[in-house]
Amino acid sequence: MKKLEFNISHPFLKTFFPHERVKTKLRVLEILLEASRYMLLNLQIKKADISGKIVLYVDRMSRLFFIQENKSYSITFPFLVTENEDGFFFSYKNEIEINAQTISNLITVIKSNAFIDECSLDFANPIYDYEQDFDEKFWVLLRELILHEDGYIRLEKDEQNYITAKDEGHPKKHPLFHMDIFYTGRCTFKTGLYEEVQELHFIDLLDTNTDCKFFEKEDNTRL
Amino acid sequence: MPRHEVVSLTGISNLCHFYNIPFLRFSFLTDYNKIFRQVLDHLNQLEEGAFEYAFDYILIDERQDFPKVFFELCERVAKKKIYIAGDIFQDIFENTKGIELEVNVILNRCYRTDPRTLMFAHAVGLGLFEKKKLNWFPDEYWGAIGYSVNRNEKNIQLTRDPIRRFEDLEDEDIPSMVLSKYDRTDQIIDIIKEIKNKNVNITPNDICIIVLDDDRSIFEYMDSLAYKIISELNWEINRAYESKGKVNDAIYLTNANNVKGLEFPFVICVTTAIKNTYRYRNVLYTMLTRSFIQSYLLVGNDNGLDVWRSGLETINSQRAIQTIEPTESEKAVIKSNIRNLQKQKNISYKDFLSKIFSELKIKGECKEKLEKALIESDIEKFDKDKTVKFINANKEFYCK
Repeated sequence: MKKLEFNISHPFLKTFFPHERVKTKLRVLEILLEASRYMLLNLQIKKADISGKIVLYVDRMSRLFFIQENKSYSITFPFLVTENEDGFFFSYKNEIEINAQTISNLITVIKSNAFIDECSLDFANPIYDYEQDFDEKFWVLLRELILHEDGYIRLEKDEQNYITAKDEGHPKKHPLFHMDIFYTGRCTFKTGLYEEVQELHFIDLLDTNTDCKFFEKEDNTRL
Repeated sequence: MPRHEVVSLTGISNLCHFYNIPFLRFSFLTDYNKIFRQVLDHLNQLEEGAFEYAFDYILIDERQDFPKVFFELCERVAKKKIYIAGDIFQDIFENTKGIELEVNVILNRCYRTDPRTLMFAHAVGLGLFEKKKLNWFPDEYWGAIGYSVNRNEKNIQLTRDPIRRFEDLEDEDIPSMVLSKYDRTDQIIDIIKEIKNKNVNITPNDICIIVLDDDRSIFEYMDSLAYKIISELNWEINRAYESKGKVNDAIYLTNANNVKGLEFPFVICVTTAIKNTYRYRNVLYTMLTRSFIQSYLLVGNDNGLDVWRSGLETINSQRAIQTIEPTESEKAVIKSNIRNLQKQKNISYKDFLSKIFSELKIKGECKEKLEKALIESDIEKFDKDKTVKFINANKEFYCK
C-alpha cells in the first residue's frame, strides 16, 4: 500500500475544486493531469496557506482523493507510482515517464481546439507531431487516458441547497450530507448520508481490501 | 472581371476552391513548396480562355515565411499588382539569400524595441562582442537594418538614429536592457515586484517570461516557477506553451516557441548558459526584442559574459556597438557555416538525427537506443557537434 499526501495551498484550490461542477470526462482528465503536476512538485506549503489536500492512495485500487472542508471527491489514478530513495515517480506502465513535459504535452493536446475539431485529421495532427518529436507511444498514452474509467465519486455537505430543498418541502431530494456518483446529467445521482464522512472513511469506502459498506433503509429519526 | 470584388483575407484553400483544385494539408510530407507548386502547375495546364484571375490586387505580409513559388503563384492569379511586405531580419542568419535587399522601400527603424535593447540583441545574436563572430554583413546590409557603420581600420562602431517612441515616457532614464547572473528562482519574483513597484498601472499581461533553453528539464522548471509566482504574487500564469495564445490577466510564461509576433512592455528571458549554436543565438535575439520597455536576460552560468557586460555598457554610454570586423578568411568560414545551416533548416529533429546516424553508419536497434538517449539528454536540439560527440562517446554502451 502506498499513501502520499500533498497539501493544497490556497491559490490552487480553484484548480482542484473549480467553481463550476465537473461535467465532462475532459474536465476530469484536466484535473488528473494538474494534480499529477502538482504532486510532482511536492511543495512545502506554509501552514497558514493550507486549504485542502490531495491524497494518493494505491493498493489494489489506485485513487486520488481531493479533500476539503464540506467537499471531497475521488477519481482513479491511472499511472504507476514508484518510490525509491530519490522520491516518487509516475509512469504509464513503466513505458512512459509521467513527468512535467509529458503532462504539459498531454494538457496542450486536450486543451487545444484540434482536440474538439470535427475533422479527424485535425484531431490527429498535434498527436502525430508529439509521436514524432516527443515519444512514439504518446497516442497510446493519450488513448488510455481518454478510455480509462475515471470512477468519479463526490462527498458533500451542501447546506445552501439542502435548505432550499427543505423549504420547498422535499429535503430528501438534496440531503445535507450526500454522495454524488458519476458526473454527467444522465448518470449522476445522490445517495443520502446521515452524517459527514471523514477522510479515512472515504478512503475505506473505496478501498477494495477492506470490508464493504452497506446501504441501509433510511431512518427518518436520524435525518 | 475577377470574382473577388471585395477585399478578401484569404489563404490557399480559397484558391483551391476558386480553381477547383484538390486541397492539400500541410504535413511532414507536404510542405508549402509542394502545396503552392500543385496549384501553380494546375493553372499552367489550363487551356487558354479557361483561366480567370482570382484577384485584382494581392497584399502579402510576412514575406520571409513563404517560398519563392508562392510569389509566382500570386503573380499568376492577380490581374493588376501585388504588394509584398516582410521582415528582412527576422532570422539573423538569413542574409545569404541575396534577394533580400531587392525591394522598393526599406523601413529600417524599429519602433517597438528600445534601440539599446535592439543593439544588444543584434550584438549577442551575431556574436559581435565575441572573438568568433557568428555572422557579418556588408555595409549596405547594415544600413538596411538601420545601422551607420563607422570604421577605424578593423574597429567598427555601429550606431542607430535615436527614436522617440513614447510621448509620455522618459525611456532614456530606464535601463532598457538588464543582464544578470541567475542563481535562484526568487530573482524573477524580485524583478516582478520591482516592476510592480515602479509601474503603478502594471497588469500581469504586461510581463512575459521566456525560458530560452530547449531541453526536457525546462518543463519542470516552468512548473516550479509558475507555482512560485502564483503563490507569492497571487498573479495568474498563462502557460502559453500549452494555451498557445494570450489569456487575460495572466503573466505570459513560455519557452521560445510561442512568442512569434507578440510584444510586451517587460520581457524576462532565462537561460542556464549561453550557447553558441546559430539556432540558440537566433532565438536569443528574437526573444530579447519582444519588449518595448525593458528586457531582462538572466544567465545561470555567466562564464565569458564579461565581454557582453562591457559591450552593454558601451551601448548604454555611447549608444553604439563596438566590434571588430572579421578577417576575409573568417568571413569565408561564416559564409560556409551559414550555407550549411540553411541546408539543415526545415528538417524535423528525427530527420536531423537520421542524417547523422547514416553519416556515422549506425543502424538498427543501436540507432533506436541512441536516439532515445539523445531525446532524454540535455543536449540542445540540432546541435550537430554535440550530438555527434554524444553518439561517439556512448555508442559502445548502446551497440553490440
